[in-house]
Amino acid sequence: MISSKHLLLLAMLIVLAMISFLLSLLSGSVDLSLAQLFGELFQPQNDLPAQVLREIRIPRALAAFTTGGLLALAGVIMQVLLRNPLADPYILGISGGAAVGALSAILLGLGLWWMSNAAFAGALLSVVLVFGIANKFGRWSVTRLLLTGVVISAGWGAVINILLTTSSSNNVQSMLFWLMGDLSQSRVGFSHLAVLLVGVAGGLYVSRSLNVLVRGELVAASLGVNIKAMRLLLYLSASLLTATAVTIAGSVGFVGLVIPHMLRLLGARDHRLLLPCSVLLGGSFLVVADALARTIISPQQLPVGVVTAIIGVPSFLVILRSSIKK
Amino acid sequence: MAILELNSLSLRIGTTQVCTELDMRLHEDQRWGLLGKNGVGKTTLLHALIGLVPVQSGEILIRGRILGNIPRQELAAGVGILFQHGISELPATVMETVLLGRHPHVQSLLRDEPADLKIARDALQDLKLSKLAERQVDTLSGGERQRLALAMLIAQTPDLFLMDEPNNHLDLAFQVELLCLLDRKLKQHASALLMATHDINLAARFCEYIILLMGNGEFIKGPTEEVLTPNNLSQAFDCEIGSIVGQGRTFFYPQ
Repeated sequence: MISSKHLLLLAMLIVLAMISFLLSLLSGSVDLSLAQLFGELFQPQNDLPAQVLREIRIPRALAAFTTGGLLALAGVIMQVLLRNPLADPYILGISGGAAVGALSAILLGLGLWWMSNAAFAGALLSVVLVFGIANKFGRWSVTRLLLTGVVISAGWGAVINILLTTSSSNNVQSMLFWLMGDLSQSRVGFSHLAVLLVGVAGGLYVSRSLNVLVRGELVAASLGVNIKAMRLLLYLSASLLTATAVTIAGSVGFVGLVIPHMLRLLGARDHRLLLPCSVLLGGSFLVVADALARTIISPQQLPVGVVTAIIGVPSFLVILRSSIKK
Repeated sequence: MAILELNSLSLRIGTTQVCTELDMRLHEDQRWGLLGKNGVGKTTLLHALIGLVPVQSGEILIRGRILGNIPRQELAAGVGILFQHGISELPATVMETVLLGRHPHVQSLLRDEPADLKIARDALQDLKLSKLAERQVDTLSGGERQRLALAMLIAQTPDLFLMDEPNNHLDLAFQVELLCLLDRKLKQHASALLMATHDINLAARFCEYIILLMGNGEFIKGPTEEVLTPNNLSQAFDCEIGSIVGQGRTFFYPQ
């Protein structure tokens, strides 16, 4: 059920997204005032700030927002699919497969293009592997899918450790950045944005069914939801969203797990609302985290995945506490 | 035309034969009781009737159409089921939950139609839950939760009510009230009902027809007064069951 209170939340998140973008565009080694920023945004000059904005800050903020949105959306879907509050986009081994792909590319000294494509290929391999094994005997239950995913994930973990321990220290540095999630080399293209938009639109299209599905598969089936088709759809879409996100920024943790829960605690339990809100909050969250990651100890940069946990943990605990008091 | 028609239905779950060659027709405004001892397959039979469990052989027809040919959503608009284990305790309010009962009927992708909201509110009122509309489901008592599941089923407005232990967790007053409510709903919507229950006296009082599952796929079915005899019941429940007559009704008790 959607009330005006919920629409207010949605509106506030839209404002938050805008503020986070402004914040991100203003922070960095080249100082920029708010007036300058608006000037550059609406009447671009051909000076240094304009160049910094156009070539560095705007693409990076966009990459952060897209990644955060993708992860939060994938998190909601995984939590519905597995009906497990601990589910996150990586629980079924997608990030593990992507990591093995990306790390192998780093090990072989291949460029950025290879790295992101190897990550995407690794993610897809993992998706097919988990689905193939879980579906082997024609009857895949949620438990079976979860167990298969967790086991495959552990297998990838072992491979990742082998890669880390056998690589030169030079490579290990960039591998660790990838594993923690890092936006410093990220660029989003049209395809990434398209995945996000189609993900939200498709999610909204089945959002009522998601509302029923979280109450259990039997209840959903009795209320007219086609369970088998829905499971497959959710598995594939969450996988694609996650694979796209890790391709952009490595495995940024925390966003996909916690953003959906934060919103549920704030009252957005209906998926018609939860899906768009997750994209907005997940995106804004990562934009702010990235702005901090590149300014806290500048000129050095932190991997954004570290910052998401540093600001995510306390803010989640505050919301959890206040919701218990209610 | 019968709302539900079973033609020589055989059903098996694991090593338990629930029924063999069961024929039955359930017409509008009829109330059927499904009785039998624990583990005999009452729940499985109910689940099979909405296609949640595959059958061994035979056909299930809903208003003359073969069950497998009816799209899930259309089926859900006509046939509603009350599960024994009720609804999960995920964070949700009572109103949000009861509104899910409208799922098979909703037209708009994102908007809640006022008509659906009204049906949901009326269902809450029917089950005396109006005051709890904004409460979280996980703060409800067992009985309130059962009433919520019932309200959800009422909001679904099916032609055929399948109910698994509808009086679970309900106090005596509410059990009687529920029967009156169901009676009203069946008449209003020309619906029919099949309920699985352990309460022989409830079935005797409320149901016009009984299917008594005997185990091993055997069953006895027919008008209540013919099926519910101490002899049949003792055999079905592996326990001596006697009866006394009082206030014009027959009561059954274990001896």
